[in-house]
Amino acid sequence: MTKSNKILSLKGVSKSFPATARGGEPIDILDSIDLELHTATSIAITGKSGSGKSTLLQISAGLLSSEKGEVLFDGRRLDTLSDTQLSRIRSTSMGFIFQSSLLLDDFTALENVAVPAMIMGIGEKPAREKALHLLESVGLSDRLGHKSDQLSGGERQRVAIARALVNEPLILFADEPTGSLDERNAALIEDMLFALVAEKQVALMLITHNAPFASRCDEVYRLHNRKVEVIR
Amino acid sequence: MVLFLAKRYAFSSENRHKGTSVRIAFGLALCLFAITMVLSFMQALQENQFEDIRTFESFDVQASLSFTDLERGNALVGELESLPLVDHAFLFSEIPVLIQGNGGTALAGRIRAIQSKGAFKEGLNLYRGVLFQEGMLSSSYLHLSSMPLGASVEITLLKKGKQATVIPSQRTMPIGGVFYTSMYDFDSSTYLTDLDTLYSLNADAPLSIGIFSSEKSDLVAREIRQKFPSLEPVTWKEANASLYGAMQLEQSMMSLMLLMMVAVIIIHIRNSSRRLLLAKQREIAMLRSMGLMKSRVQQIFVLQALIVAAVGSLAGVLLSISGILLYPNFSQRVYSSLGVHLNITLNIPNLLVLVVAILCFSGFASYIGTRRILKADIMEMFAHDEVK
Repeated sequence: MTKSNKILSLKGVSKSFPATARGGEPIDILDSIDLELHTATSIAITGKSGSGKSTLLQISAGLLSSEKGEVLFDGRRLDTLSDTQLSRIRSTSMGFIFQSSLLLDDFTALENVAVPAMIMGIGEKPAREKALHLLESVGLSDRLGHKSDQLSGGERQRVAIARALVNEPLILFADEPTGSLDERNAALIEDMLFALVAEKQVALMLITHNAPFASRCDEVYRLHNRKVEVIR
Repeated sequence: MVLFLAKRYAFSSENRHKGTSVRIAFGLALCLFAITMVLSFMQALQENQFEDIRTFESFDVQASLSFTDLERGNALVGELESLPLVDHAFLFSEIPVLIQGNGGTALAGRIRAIQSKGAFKEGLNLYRGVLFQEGMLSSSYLHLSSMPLGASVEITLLKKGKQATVIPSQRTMPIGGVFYTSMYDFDSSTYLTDLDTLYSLNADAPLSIGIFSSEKSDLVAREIRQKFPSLEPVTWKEANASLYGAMQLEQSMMSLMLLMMVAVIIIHIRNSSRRLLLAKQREIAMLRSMGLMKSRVQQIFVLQALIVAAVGSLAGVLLSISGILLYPNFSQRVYSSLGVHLNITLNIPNLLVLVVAILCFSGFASYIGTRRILKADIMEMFAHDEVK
């Protein structure tokens, strides 16, 4: 870790999607974005639907490449890393929560949480123990053997949170984690997310169009006209 | 971890796409079974035909003699039988004839006089009467209605003449025995007698020596050539060169057809592997976002493909073994249509080659498939619609 505690840094990042096969102009999504995220802090990116919030998160996490600019994770440019190095960073230092709580459908809740730990190199038994502990902490000790289709939307999202935290990452990327939930479940997930982020001292990059949810973060940005504006 | 995930994606009951794995394995098993059985049948049919040819028609090795003296011939037979590679040696001679039986029907054929020994003796079955009686002919069961036991038949043959080169000659001879063998062509065209009787019909009939050996006929012929330079031994392959060539061609064509079946298997593996990988594309993206390296993803799906192919191949091998073991019970029912009892055996080297080819191609197809999928960004893989 660098002395400045700067964990993620985006410098002049631009992204456009190519024209479709049917023709049309390329669509510019992001234009020279600069952004920084420090350890154990949280930032929220808000904006209208289609403003490029998710694209920004995906580029920040190295899931998508940008055309211009650079993304530095812990001082290292993600676009210069090999697949092995990038995979290692994703495994050990990043956690993901997606809007549709993408779980592995062929695996139980317990296995869904244990798999990332196994990918990191932890044995199956200790990985299951770790997963069990985390699922208990998100209140799912009675749903360990249930598969994705046997869980409610809120329960799936709690499994996704436990899965994102199982390898004790430095940064958590959450893309509309409450977007598909009802109000009661959304509030529950919000509370749980912030409690765990605070407890485990994890940096959080939150994408949401929910202003009250965003306001719980240390910093709030808005994506507008392909640029990032500081809200708070 | 790789094994844990590969097993889950192969046949685990937790796997939503288990049905696809089962269908792939089932398809492989059936194809392997079909190829193995066709190969075994083809080989058994050929071996059966070759065996008949060697037993009744041309023997393992034969050599024409330049004389017709039976005593000299018998002395040579004794010398040949003392050779280590020769199991049985015997004199034989044959002449072409037209034979007219009851009802006036004339049949073209040959009279063969032979010292019945070895495989010929064992394969020759007596139906009625006594075979090789002096002054009598034996006809086959096929001609029973026109040449029953005891009936006199009229024989027309060509003999060396004094003024003309050959002249027709006619003799009447009784049927003293009825035989049958497993070779239809032999039975339909051959009448048997002893050498003295044949020479009483035609004193100029060419005399030959037949040889049976459990060793390779080429080696036997070479040994005879070395020890008896005056003889020109001919192996059964040389004596039936055109038939042997045709059967070799038939085998090549069958191999070509089997190669096409293998091509069908390969297309089946490739399509199934692609379908399975497409179905798992979103899960691959998820695993990648969790930090699973591309090489690990490939290992998982190659291992998964190998597990499916191994199960399919094992099922195919078991089916093939069962088919071959159960065939004797079934062969009585198909005897009437095939006309022969076949001893089918499993060709282990061929089967091993097929299994190894299936395993290799399954692994390769999966490797290529995952490599193609992994070229896309993780988010592009996420956007892929799940294949049901």
